[in-house]
Amino acid sequence: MYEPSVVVRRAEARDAEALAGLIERFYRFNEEFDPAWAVAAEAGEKALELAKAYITDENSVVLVAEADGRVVGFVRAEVRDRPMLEAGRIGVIVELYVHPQYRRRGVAGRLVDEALRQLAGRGVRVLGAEFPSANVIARRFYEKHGFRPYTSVYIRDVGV
Amino acid sequence: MRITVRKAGEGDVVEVATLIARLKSLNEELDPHFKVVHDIDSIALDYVENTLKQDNAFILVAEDSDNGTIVGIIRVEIVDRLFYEPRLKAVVTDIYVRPRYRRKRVGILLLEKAAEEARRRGAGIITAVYPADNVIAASFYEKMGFTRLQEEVYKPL
Repeated sequence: MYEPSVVVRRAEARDAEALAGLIERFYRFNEEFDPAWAVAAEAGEKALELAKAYITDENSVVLVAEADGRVVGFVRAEVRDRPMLEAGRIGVIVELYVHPQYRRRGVAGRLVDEALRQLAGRGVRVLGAEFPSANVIARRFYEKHGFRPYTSVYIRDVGV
Repeated sequence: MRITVRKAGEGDVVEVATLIARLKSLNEELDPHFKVVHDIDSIALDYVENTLKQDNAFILVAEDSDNGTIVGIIRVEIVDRLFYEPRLKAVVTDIYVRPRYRRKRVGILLLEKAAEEARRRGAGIITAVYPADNVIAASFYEKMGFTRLQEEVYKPL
């Protein structure tokens, strides 16, 4: 099988459209796991706005994976401060996505490794990841990469 | 919200095809060997139109009676097993419920109505085919009392 070389780097302004496409795919996939992840009608436009905002956001690390000259995956990790805790500064992966055609060759692992490296440089002591509880693919991935269950988020409808 | 299940008609083709395409795109997420074709929308339209013309297949739709949207679909083929009793089996080839209508038993309703229709057509068993990594499908069928019947293995050429 042909294995293109993959480059992981920070997202830049020129990546906005490609990044938006991946953001939308990420949410459309997670939508499958719980109705409370249902995607908004105008998700396409929102994704482009988000992509542009992510690229300049100083509170998160946004990386893209490039293969065959196109952006095929991305990760966004937020930096959060928790003053009461010893490991006060935490990084949280809130979005991670690799295009299906570039799966099973370690791209997501490389994105996470590079995010870890960059977050460590910003004083982050632990790295977390948020994903739908029913997303078994995500759970398997993170467990394989040394993550353990940490915080559980439960939801219910407000019912008004 | 009131959900009713009925047979798909000519007027439903576009909406049903949209949901079929979404199902295939979900499968693409689960295994790279389910890469969808670039013209999936038109292929899905043909697939649905052809199904409606076939005698050995049918599509049921679940409709939200409040607003008339199709919120879920099920497609079933009746297959003659030739060598085995009972000869006729119903195969669920596609089932999909819009994410915002999940957890409301729409899938269960679709499957039950499809089983009734299959029984009416003489089928003695009902089976379902889905990607091995589709855990959403796996847990659904397990909950519905389905067990493993046969394996499909593959290797790329």
